[in-house]
Amino acid sequence: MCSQVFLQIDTLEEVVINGERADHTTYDRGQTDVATTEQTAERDPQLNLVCRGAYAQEVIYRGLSGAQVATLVDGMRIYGACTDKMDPVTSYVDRSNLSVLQSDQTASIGFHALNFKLEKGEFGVERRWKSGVFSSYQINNAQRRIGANAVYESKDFWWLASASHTEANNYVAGSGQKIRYTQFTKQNLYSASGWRRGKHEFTATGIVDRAYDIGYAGLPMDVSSATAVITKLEHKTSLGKWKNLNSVYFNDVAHVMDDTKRDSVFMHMDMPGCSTTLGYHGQLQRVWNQWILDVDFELVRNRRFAEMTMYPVNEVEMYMQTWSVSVREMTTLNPTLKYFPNDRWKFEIVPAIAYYNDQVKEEFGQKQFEVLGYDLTKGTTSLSKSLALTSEYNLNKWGSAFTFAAGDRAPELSERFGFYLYNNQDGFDYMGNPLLSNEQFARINWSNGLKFEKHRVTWSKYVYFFDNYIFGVHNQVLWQMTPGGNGVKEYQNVGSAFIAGSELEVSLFEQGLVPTQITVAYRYGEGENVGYLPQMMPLEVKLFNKAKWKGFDFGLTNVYSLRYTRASQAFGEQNVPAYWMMNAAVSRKLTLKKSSLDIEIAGSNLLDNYYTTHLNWNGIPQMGRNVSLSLKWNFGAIE
Amino acid sequence: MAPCALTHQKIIMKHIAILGFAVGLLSLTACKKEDPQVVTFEDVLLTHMDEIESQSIGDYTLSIYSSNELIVGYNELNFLLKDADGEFVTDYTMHAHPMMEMGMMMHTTPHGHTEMIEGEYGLYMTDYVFIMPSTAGTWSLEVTVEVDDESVVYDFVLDVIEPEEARMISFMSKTGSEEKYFAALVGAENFGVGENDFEIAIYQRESMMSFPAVTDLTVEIEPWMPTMEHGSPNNVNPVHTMNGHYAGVANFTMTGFWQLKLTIKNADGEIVEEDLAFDITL
Repeated sequence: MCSQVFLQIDTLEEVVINGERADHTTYDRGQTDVATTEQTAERDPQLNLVCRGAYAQEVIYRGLSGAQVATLVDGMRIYGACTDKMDPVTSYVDRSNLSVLQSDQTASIGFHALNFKLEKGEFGVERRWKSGVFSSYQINNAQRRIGANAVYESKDFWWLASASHTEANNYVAGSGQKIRYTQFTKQNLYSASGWRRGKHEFTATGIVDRAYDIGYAGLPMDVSSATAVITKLEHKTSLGKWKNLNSVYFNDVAHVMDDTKRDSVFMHMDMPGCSTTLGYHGQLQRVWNQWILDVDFELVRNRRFAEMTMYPVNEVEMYMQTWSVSVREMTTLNPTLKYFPNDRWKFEIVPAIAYYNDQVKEEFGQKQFEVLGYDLTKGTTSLSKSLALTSEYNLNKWGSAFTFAAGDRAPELSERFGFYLYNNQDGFDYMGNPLLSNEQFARINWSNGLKFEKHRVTWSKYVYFFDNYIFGVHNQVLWQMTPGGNGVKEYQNVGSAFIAGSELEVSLFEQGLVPTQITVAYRYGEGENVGYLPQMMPLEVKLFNKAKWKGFDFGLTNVYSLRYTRASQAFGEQNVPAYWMMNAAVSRKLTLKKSSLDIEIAGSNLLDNYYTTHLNWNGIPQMGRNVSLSLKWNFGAIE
Repeated sequence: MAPCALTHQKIIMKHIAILGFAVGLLSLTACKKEDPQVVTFEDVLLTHMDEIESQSIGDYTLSIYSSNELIVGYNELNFLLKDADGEFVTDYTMHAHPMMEMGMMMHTTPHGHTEMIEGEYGLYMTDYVFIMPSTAGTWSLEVTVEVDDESVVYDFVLDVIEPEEARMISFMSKTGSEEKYFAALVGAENFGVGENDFEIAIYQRESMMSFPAVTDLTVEIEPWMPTMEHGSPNNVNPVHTMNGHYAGVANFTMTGFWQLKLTIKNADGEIVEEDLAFDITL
């Protein structure tokens, strides 16, 4: 980011995930080593987690989700292969793969971008090896995790790799009740390497991630396997005074649902899905005295397919394509211009444009939509555009940033071409609508900050206005497909909507004996023909304390959430009582001769409260009291 | 999973003129390539249909073609006449009369008019709704051909089978009258996932020798998946076109076992039948 003298008020926020790094992590906001990527992300008060089970939580931003937020892995577009959103893309990476989560308000696609950056090596002066072995055990769900990583760094070459295996049984909620279908197993392999030759730098990255036997307590089905292969080749160089980056990437996601573990099913079904993305990302950057220009360009092709075969007893099987072979081709252009006229002011202008060509390629899928009166033999093109203007002013102890942004987003492939996608939260089958218009938005964000030597306060207020808001509307004419379901909803542009909210972050006694952080967040949303918008958190206060004593690091987290009384019935949400949750951790680093050992004992939900959040599907309760032990043994050069 | 019926034989039947065009085109390409093999009209016909019967009397050979095995239900029979040289005869008229012989009794069956549908080759077509299978007796088809001022009578025996799923259902009117109706699906073999042209032909029994078309009914359809207890959207109730044929639209959203449920009302709006259902496995 830009100059450090400024207050950290920016359109781009970062959460350090820190992977499974060999060097020791201090307890920033109560982060523990057994936390998942998603749980780490949740430290940001702008981010929340949607839980459908113990695995694959969906990170949402200020109540926005789905196509409203672009979730990227190291700048790569990647799309889940589950029609029921059981596999947010964050589930295809492991914490050990990641370094930083960038949260970018001025994204070209959707209204926000979350970029999970991958851990990389560095070109060093001397040759050095670092390696580590890590393992952890959680008592509540007998979660065991084991893994190893290694890094080699030299002047013109680096290589890193990590491997991990995590396995968990069903967890026990605060009531002592075992929550069935919350088990999972995940294996992850990650490798990356970089070469440098003159002014050319090459990076290759690859992830193979496979999870299987995953329970989804909030859904009527589980997942037998969810697999992803994620690869990227990147080239960085300079063209005169321009910095240039080019990358090509490919990722392939396969997701297979499974109803065979359930006690009784109306009818056995097979529901596999896949999603393949091929992309190019180019970037040009130039820095002048007071100006920085960044131009991003993307070419992306995503192909998805999901089908459903049902096996009634003594009858022929039934078959349909829930995502017929659907292809989205996308071109985006997203320049960012920053201007620093003096020490006090900073201006940023971000225009963005994206062009889409969406098509159902298979005749079977076209025929399915024929029934609904749509002709899908030709593709649908759409154009989305946005413009974000930011000004930031810093003077001595205080700073202020104001952003105005407006634009639209094109409907997502599911919103266009989904065919009877069952949503277990509201019990409706969702139908795509090929004639959807773009969803328009305007956003105002105003942040103020005050910084003292040891204390810091940041207060953000924001409001989003939407028009042509895309939402599922009950279609009385269509027959539901799912037995026992409530009916069919069709995506429609329902009219206007708005979200208003605020986040307060207070940081006290930095570098003191007991550094303390407090975050307070609240959102409210309402829409024409919708009522309360879903996923709008009630007032939530988080308190993080840390302390150091005789080589021990202590962390304490308290979360207080008021009751949720504005459940979106149209979305199938439930009101949820208030809750209080407490986590604590203590750790110690032991330095041995040629190695070091990190030991951590962490406890979560120490009060063993039975609670659920407004984002848990069908009110599934969160994990009860849990204690974990984790060990990391680091070898080699340590800083 | 067979991605729905792509070979719309029905369309070929209905637009048989295209065949003629195709023949021309194929022979044209054949000429250009100087391929000695000449594609005849019969060759093209045989890619879509089978010869089910053929008889030679005197100089003339009459052949019957059908795209399907003959079933209890709606069938389209095509006739071609060839002379001693194997050339198609085009200037002839024909009249066919189907009959079911069951020992003590005999009866005919509902059928349409015989029409010349491809004059260049002398191709006639007639539609028949066979109301019972050959296992019940003997289906005969007496064809009288008038050619060169002479009259030739062919006598065919047809093999009519009961299809796996009924394509013709008979019922007594529920209005209290003693009318017996016969309803047959037309082109059901082409049904697939998506939007389908739906056609049904309805006849009444006047006597054993007369089954006229009924042209003044109101027909409502509802495709239904009994296992899943759901229907499909945007169906169009069939309306009368001609000769007792009613055309509409039936939609299927997925493969599997469907039922096409029908409600039939007479001109006075009285319900003639409401529990009629054709099984359709896609």
